[in-house]
Amino acid sequence: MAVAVVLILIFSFFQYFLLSHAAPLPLSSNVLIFSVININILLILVLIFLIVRNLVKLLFEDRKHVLGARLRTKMVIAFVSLSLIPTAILFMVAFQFLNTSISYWFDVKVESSLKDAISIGRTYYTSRRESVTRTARDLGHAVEKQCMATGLMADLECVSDLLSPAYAKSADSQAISCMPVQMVQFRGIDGTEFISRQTLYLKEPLPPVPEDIFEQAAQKGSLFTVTQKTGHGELIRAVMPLKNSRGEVTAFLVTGGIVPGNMLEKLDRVRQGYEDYSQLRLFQHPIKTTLLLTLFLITLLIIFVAIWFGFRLAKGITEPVQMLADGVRRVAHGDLDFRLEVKGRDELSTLVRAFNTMMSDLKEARNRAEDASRNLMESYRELDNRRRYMEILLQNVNAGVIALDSRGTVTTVNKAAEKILVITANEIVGKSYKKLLNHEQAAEFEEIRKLLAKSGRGTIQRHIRMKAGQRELSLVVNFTTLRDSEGNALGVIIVFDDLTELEKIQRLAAWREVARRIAHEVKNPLTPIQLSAQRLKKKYAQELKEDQRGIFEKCTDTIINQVEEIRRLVNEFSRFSRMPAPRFVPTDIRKITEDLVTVYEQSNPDLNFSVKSSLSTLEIEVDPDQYSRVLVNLFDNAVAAMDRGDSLTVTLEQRGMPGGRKEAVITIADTGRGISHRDMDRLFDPYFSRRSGGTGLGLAIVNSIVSDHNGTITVKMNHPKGTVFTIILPEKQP
Amino acid sequence: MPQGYGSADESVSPDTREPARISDVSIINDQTMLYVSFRLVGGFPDQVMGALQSGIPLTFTYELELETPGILMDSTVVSRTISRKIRYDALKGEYMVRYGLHSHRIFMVNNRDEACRLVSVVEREPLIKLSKLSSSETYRLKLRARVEKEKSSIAFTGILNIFSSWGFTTEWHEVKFNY
Repeated sequence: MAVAVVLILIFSFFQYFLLSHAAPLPLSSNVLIFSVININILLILVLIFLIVRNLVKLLFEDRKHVLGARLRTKMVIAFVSLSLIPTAILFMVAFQFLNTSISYWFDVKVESSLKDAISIGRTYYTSRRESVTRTARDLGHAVEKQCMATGLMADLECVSDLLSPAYAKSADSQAISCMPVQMVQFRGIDGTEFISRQTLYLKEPLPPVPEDIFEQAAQKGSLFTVTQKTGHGELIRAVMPLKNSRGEVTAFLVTGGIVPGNMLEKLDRVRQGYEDYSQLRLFQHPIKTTLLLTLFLITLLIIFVAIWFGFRLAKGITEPVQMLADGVRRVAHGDLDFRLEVKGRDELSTLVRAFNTMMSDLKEARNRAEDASRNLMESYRELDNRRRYMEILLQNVNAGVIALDSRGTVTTVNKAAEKILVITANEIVGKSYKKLLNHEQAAEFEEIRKLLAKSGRGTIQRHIRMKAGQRELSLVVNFTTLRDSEGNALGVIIVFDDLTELEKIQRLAAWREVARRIAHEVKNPLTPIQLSAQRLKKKYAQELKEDQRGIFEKCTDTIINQVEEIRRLVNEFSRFSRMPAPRFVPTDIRKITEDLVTVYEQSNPDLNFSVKSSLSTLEIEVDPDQYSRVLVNLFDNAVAAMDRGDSLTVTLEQRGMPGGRKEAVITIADTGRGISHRDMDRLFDPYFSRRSGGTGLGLAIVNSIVSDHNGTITVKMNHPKGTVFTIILPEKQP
Repeated sequence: MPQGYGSADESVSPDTREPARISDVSIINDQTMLYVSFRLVGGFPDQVMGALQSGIPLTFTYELELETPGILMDSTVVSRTISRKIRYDALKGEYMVRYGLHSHRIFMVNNRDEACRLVSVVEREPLIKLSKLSSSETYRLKLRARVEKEKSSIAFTGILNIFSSWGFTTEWHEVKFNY
């Protein structure tokens, strides 16, 4: 906008220069003036556009509630009002003043005065000229009549008398004198001066009469007038050709008079004034239009400059406010590198400087805070790493770990603890042990806690049996007091190992050893006892009386039968203790299973047997004899527990395992009387049987064979009744 | 020094109503030169006459172009410009007519019609030497007149010219002839 104003001023000055100095303007100059005016108008239009643009921008900013827009609007309105009102008044007054002034310029009185003045001047000049020409004509005629009428040449004496200052008598008796003129000459046909009378006393000689004047006058035969500028004024000379009696021009009479220089100057001024006035009158309307247009343009320029100045000043005030607002917004968004540009040295710039200083301080404080935060984060990260490491350790140890705080609230439970105790951490973390344990357990733990408090070592180990879910667990539990570096008790950490399976294995091994010894010690005397009983029966039965013989045979039969029973038991013990190592061969277990089921179907027609499998064959590496024994033992138990109409279903499936391995899943489900939950844990223990006559070795042997085949066997209740045994065996043995 | 010549032959009345145009063109020759005579009609409309009477010097410029018509373009054989300056002296009540821009051929006349005639009538103005013309060739003579205000004693004449239409230029007047 400033550029537009400056350009307007430059072009206006250039325009003024052209219009005021280049008076005689050719077409090209007019084109130039047109161009300049057009450029000026264009620039004013640009200025208008910029102002309108700023106004619209201001309006939009005001509507959008941009900070500072309202203040700027108010300031612009104030400036525009302050400039517009006086400028408009001034324009109106100037307009009226110009109209009136121009009318006064061309007042009728002025015009008539000027005309009178020029008329007086013209009269004076004309009279001077007429005086010279009339004198020349009159004297010339007098000379022709009085001095040249009789001869070819003029009588010089006569001419001299006639041209003397004294009065002369003309032919028609009119008084003729050369007194009205200031110079009179009588010249020959060749311009030679014969007589000269002059009342002029000049420092400089008079300029000569142009030669061609004489020629022209002689040719035309009439009076010629010539005016010449001299140092004393304008010299008016009249050349009168003189003719002789034959009508031939033989001489000239030259008269002259001077219009004085001072008078000439005054006359020139009168003429100049008149001409100027006439020209002004001729240009009256253009002048009026020009002046009004100029006034209008200047007014317009003043208004626009005032508006622009208003914008500028408003911007100068509101811009720092906007900058500050913008800066505060950016600070709010966290940009502390933002700095405001400082212009000038006023109060607003002081405010801006203060803002910048505040920003620097803020940035420094934030840097410090960031450093502290970074250090904290690093510490936290390190702590977190340690914590995670500890958690990983805790989660990966096989021993169960439970931590309690000083108030007895569970704070940590690892995966092993969850698995052993068949719980989830979410169930117990955050809860007091008093709520988690039953009355007896709580009392026992309270006792341990007290012992821990008294114990100097801070750790106590106990062997505890407890029930978790359906399982009876045997745990070795270490209670340790947690203390900080200052020795303050922070809580208790409980570390426990599950010895249940280990105990089972140890028990199985012990039972095998017992069985082996029993079989060894008992089996040997059985044969002599049986043989002895048979011999006694054979030898002495006939010798006894009838009534005695009966008792005797009954007793010997009992001995023989019981020995046989003991032998059977011993054989079972022996088989249990001498379980041979399996010989793995690829075997189609489906076929074996179906064959066995067929045998049991035939021997138990009132029961329902079935085999289900999606596979036509299921071949895995097993010892076929031991596999058959497993099934036989399980089928025997099932049949014993089933009533008429019950069914036994064997399902054979194969499933894939991670690493590409496969395993066979054999499920034996019956709808018999089932097993109580209480007995399930001890089901695979040797010599555990709820069946009368059972040795308690069948399921122990099954468990042993499955274990030798690197498999697992589990038992659960069948719904709605019965039992389900699930055997999982690997496809290939390692 | 200005010199005055008196003449009082025929007079041309300034027609202020008729639009300005070139008229009465005649081409004559002697043994060596080709001359042209013509007249400007309507050369003093009211505005021009008002300016003249107010003392503004006026320049009447006559442009002459002698061409040979071509198939595509005409070729200019010779072009000439003739100027007449006229000024009225309100004090002396006489008109000063000057032939040419810097010529000493000056006429001082008191009669307005005579002054206008001196400006408007061009007689026997030499155009071109006959030796430069080709015989049996067709020529075309184009003429037009332009009137301009020479200068003014008042300021801002330039802008005043813009708001006051000044001067005029006539249409081209064409005359064809065979040599």
